[in-house]
Amino acid sequence: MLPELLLAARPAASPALRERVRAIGVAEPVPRRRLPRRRLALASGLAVVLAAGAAGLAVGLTGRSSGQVHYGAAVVHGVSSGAVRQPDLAPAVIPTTPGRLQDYRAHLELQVADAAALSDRTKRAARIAHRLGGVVTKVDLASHGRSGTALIVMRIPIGRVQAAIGALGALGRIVNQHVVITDAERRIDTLRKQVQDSTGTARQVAEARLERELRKARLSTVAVGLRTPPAPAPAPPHRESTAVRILEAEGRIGLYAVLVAGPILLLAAAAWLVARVLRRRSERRLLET
Amino acid sequence: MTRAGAAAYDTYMTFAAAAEQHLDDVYAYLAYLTGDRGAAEDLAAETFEKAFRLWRRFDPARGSVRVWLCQIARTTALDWFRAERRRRSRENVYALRQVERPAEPLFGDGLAPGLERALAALSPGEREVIALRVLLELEGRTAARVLGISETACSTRLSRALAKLEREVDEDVA
Repeated sequence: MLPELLLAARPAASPALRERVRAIGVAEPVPRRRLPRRRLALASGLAVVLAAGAAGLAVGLTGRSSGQVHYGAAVVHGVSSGAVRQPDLAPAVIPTTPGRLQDYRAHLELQVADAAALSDRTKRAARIAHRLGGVVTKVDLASHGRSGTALIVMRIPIGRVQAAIGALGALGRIVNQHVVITDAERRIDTLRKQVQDSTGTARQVAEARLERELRKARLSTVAVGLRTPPAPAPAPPHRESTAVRILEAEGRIGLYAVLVAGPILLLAAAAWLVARVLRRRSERRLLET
Repeated sequence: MTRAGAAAYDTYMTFAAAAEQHLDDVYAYLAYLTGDRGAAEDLAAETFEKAFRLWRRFDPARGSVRVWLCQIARTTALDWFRAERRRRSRENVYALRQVERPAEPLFGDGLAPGLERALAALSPGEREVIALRVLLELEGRTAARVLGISETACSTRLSRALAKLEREVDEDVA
């Protein structure tokens, strides 16, 4: 009942007020169509997240060069530690020069399966040396658990060094080898001349040195290093993990931003809420009287 | 007209058209809120001046022109109330409030004197919610938005205001 009465007697603007208001809008402004702020903020946030994700994936998946560099480093590491199998090497059997005295030194580094094989190959290397008329001058074997290393140094007659290297190379997988051949003819000729030119004690000393050099030239030095495979290296990182790393970094940055800005934002929100409550209370008091 | 339709309509509405269409609404709202027709006229004019300046910032997607104008009118009226309070406090003329009331109708043309007095006995806040919900026929949600309160609080405020108005009318008749 009352509402109908009030509505029927609703106050209307006077003609004077109407004219006053009409005069305001002489220069007609055009309302600007704006994008809703919330939608814009939401769209921007989503765009940022998508861009971050896309950037991480793009860099991670297309950045093959950086991934391969890393992988390559792992390969290099693998060579030194033997983690990555490389093609087996054939023993470098370099023949001696017949008729010339030479200082022949060879070093083979072999990989064997485990500690048991290490011990067995050490014994077989010594037997090969003996069989070929040589001697073992040093054996150094160390094993712990399933891994270990061994070094066998032997002197092999120069005429059988090729057979020795061939037989020793078959004891395991050759991972490294080094052969050095030095011609000894000039040095021995010099010693021979010293023997001829000297007399007495000096001659005896020169003869001893000549004998030692001739013996040395008749026997080659062959060193065999044996070792078990090293512990498996950690798996090389996948290419995808680069994207994950980038996303993680972005996540960390976002988290830090939230941690730093969070309290400030909370304080600002609290201040805004308090101000709003106070303003509304003030308005209510104002309109209650 | 649906809200989306109203928004689309408001998008292409000129300021002059909006002022012409909603002047009576704004004026009625301000007349009820202030209880002073002269002040309501001045505040209505001030409201449309502000609206004219802010017209470029009006976003139809966020609400109708009428609601936007009512929000501006409310802010303008609140400033006026603050200024009035300061003035009365300074001049210490609270006692004059009752005797200053003019004889001309305040809240409507052709309202019964008893109803006029009953409306005058209400607080501005109570008259405000009646103006929005009864005179302007705004939905509860829209009126609550103008008032800056919840829809439930708006509904409660309206019920209490109408109940008080009825009591005041009954007392006046008695």
